[in-house]
Amino acid sequence: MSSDASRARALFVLALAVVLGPSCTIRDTVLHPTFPDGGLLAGSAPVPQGALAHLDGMFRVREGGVFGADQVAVHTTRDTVSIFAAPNAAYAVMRAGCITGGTELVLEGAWRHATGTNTGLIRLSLGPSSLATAVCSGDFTTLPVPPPPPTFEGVTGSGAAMPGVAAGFDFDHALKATEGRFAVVGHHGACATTDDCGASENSLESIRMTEAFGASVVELDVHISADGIPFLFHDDQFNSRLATGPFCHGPVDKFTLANLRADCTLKFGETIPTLEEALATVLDDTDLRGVWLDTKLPAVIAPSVRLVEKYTALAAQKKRRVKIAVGIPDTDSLAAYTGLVPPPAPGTLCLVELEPADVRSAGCGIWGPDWTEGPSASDVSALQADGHAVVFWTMDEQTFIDAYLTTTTPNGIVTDRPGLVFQRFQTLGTLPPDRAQL
Amino acid sequence: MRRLLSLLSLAVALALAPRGARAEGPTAPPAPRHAIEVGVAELFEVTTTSPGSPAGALFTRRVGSAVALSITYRTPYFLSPFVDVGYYPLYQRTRVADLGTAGGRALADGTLEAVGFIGGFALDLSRVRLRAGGGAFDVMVRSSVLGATIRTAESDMGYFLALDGYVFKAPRFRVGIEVRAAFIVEAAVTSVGIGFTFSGDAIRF
Repeated sequence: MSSDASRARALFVLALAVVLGPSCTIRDTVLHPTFPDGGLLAGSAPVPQGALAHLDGMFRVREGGVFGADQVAVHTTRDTVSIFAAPNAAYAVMRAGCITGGTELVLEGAWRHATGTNTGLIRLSLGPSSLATAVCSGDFTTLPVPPPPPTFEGVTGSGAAMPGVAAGFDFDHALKATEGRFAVVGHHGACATTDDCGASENSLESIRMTEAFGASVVELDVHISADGIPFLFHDDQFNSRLATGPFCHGPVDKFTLANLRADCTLKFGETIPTLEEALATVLDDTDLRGVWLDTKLPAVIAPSVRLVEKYTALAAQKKRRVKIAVGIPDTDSLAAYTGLVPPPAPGTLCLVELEPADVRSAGCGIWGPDWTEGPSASDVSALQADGHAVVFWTMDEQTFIDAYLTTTTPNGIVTDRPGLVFQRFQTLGTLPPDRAQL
Repeated sequence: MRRLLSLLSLAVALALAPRGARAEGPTAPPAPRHAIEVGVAELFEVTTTSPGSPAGALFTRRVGSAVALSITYRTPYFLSPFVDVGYYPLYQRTRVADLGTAGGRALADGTLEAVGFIGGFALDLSRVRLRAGGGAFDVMVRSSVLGATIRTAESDMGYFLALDGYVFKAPRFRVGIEVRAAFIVEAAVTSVGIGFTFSGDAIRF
């Protein structure tokens, strides 16, 4: 055997190893640390409804290296307190509980760098004690006027280790009141499946998490099953990025709802929800202010509009301020929408991704441009002057988010990193006119 | 797996075993340098990477009979290009599924099969042939629940590795044992098989 032949054979074997090697690598997994035995919250009392809202604000960072910032945004929901920082798109989501007879408010949860997999535990307590007592009782009349500014003291950790690094945050100023004017829109829930924030995108679990991650509106992707039932899924084909199941392959619209339930689950094991289940979850389990239905096919339009009419009426009955918009992504979908018989009920909200003229001609309230087309500041201003809203999709990088927030005044941004957009808007965003239909 | 390795060892040993010296006639014509070789293989196939959880299953099957047809352009160089088309029965399962609002608990049955279209290169070492390649697998699903059956398919990328050991090798044809592994990336399925292979020279030049 010649040396050339030996070298060629060796190269062949090496090439084989290079080709086949990657198939043996193990996917990185994200740690979701929790406190042992439920931590201090295990024996805590719940915080009265609405009391946590007194803790919203922009805070100066006294100590807290994992956030890497001088200032963070603190955002509350019914039962969570979240911290958002710009570097590494860092966030912490904590549950709140009252201990020691209602004189101490404790927050426990996990922080994460959304740009990577760094994570760890975080435990904070609210100060001063007079404010903690007021929050835990829901009675703020005992506080002086103005009330003392909130502070947080506590510790952060790394990985699953118990936290031990000091963290402290001092109230700086109040948040901008964005309701009805600007919305952080969670892209198919709290985060993308590939970012693994604890639930698969387009799952009921992710919808329930969306507010805690910084969004007030959720965007949901809607497909239709072979038996005509709208359900949530992003891609046209099932794939291992988003779904699992031995028989979960091929075009999603070939599956009946029964087949979907028998053969497929979302990436982290959740059931693939129907659109109706998703809308019921938004109404019953969240305080979200809006839903954008990203319809993936013209055939999705008609059943989605009927469900929007039903759940818009239900929201009104429940005195919930939630607006549900049917997305119109292309001309075929626009034709399907404008040709509906019977036509959409008066007040049905729609969002057009085409040109500004299409928004007006279709009688839709919202324009949803792709951000890569540019800030379109003059179009944004003109539409807003007519009472329309403008929501850009889908922006995850701080550089672009900052550029769009400083060159135009959108009514919303769709993002896989709601906490980052929340923090950036509160830091440098300008509130748009309040005439938009948001 | 241990049985599979034993059979593989046997195939390699048989293939590499010394043979009696062949009589060389003074007028033997020179052997052709090129050939188009056609081969068929039938294999006992096992899906080694589980494509699904067997929890709650009433019946699962991950073995079956695979067949493949390959065409190799055998060259005097050290690598010979080939194409291979193979059918792989991957998985079958029957279970009681909870359909929730779509129908409660119901019997669900499904099968997963694939047809692979592979291109690659073969390396001949005496009586052993190593083949490696990549290509597309047409992954096919049949799923039945609540009396209705759907059939879907998707094309996935995949890799292929095969080792043939020839126990009988004549100038124009060969008979041997083949061990092959197919990895279908998107479906995350690995299938390993062992069986018989027969190949012959259709054209020699």
